[in-house]
Amino acid sequence: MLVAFVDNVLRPFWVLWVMMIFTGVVFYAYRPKNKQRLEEYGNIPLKDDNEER
Amino acid sequence: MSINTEATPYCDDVIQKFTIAAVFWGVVGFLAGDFIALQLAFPVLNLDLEWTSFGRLRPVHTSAVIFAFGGNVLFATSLYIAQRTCRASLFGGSGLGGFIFFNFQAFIVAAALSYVLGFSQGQEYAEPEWWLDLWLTVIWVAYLIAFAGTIMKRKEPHIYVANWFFFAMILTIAMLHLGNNVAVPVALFGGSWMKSYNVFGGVQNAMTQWWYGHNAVGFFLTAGFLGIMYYFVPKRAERPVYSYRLSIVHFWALIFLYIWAGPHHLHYTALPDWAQTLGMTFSVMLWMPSWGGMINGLMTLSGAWDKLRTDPVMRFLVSSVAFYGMSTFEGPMMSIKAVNSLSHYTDWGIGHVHSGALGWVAFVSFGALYYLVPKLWGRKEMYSLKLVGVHFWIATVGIVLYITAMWISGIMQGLMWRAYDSLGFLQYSFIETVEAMHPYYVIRALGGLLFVIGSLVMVYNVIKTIKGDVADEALASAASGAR
Repeated sequence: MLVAFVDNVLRPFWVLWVMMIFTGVVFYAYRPKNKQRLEEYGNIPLKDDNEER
Repeated sequence: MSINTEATPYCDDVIQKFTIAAVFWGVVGFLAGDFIALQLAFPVLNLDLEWTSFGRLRPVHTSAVIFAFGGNVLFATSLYIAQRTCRASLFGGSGLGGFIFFNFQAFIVAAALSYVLGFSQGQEYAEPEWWLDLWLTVIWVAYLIAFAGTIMKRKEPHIYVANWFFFAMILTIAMLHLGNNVAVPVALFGGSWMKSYNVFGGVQNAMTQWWYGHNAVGFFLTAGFLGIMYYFVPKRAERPVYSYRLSIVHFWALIFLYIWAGPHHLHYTALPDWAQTLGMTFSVMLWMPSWGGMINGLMTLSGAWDKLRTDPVMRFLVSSVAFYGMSTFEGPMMSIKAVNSLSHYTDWGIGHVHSGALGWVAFVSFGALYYLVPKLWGRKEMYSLKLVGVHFWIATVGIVLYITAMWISGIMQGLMWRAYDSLGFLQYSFIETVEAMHPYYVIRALGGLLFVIGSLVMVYNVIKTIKGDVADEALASAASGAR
């Protein structure tokens, strides 16, 4: 049952599923609501504990 | 400046070891490469000995530069970056780190010896025999534990993007290594311990091999070194990456696309046509994430372009990203079947690989090493930034000589192979193409020699830095002042 579903329904449209996941990633990344939070992550390397030792 | 009141005790002695090993194996690998380049120009250098023949030394060169040099760079940088961006000390500490380090170095020596003595699985970039493969698997799993363990005990809630690239590298390389090395040792049937047969034969073997081979480029030499870019470029420029959101899209696009590109190594072979077209299509699509990543790296410098002039370490890092852009433009172009019919099996391929390997992988590694060495040994800066600049220019001229020689040689070779005379006969015999390529082989070896000399300048600089010497105080303070 599950195998047949995977073979007949999921597999032939793999490009579509992968595209949907990717589109979701792009949507998440560029959603204006997330902008400030995500760009803030860019500062992680710059706030190192042991700098200037 | 300290954000936390209590600083994390980073485990850096392991990183120091990997850094020194990277410098050492880099020189060994570059030397081996230049020697086999000279063998191609002057066959007498095969020395008429089986151990020094091109066929045995070539895997010594490729393994030394990719896995010994590149591998040690990746171990050093990934474990350095993971500790700092997670604000956690290395999982397993010096014990696990030392286990990985010593086993990996011993593995390198054993693998190289096995090639020279004539043992090989015959899978390109996966030459070590089966029991060496098993040993490497143990080392890699230990690495996964050390890396993932560090991530899991992080104090920083978010996992910085560089670590995503390293993680993808570790997982994918594990999968590729196991997939491409499924072999039956003849020792099971009372034969030699140094011989095995891959379970795949014919075109299945070829496709598995290039699924492995191209993703070794895609995940080892690209994803891993992009992790380096995403940490060291912002760190050296002292500004965050141009767009963190772009880095998220860059990561997922690269991961989704790269794994399908392998079949472009098998155009016009027994591989089914649809698979060839699939490989070509995904290779062309790779243009987007590659250039997205390049733009992200380069634009990190926007507003600080003067560092390119004042800081030779930054020059290494930024030039590497520019070379990355160039070779990831060339690659998809060469994967187009019509172009491939001219370029495949010619020196153009070798030129393409080296624009990526020398320009991107080695340059970003040099930049990272020049950043790491002073940090790890508690120095303010490298012994001499001027010598870093000297290294940069010698190596750059070397690369340009190498790539241009191979472009001309490769395109000429391809054109000579396909040239017909008016009666429909092939116009050139094979040996005529070899003769025509000779001058370019000499130029290539010269370019390689320059690259080796540059790396020796780095060795001198690194030794002096570790000893604590300072050469050009004025220049050093000017550069750090500019930062």
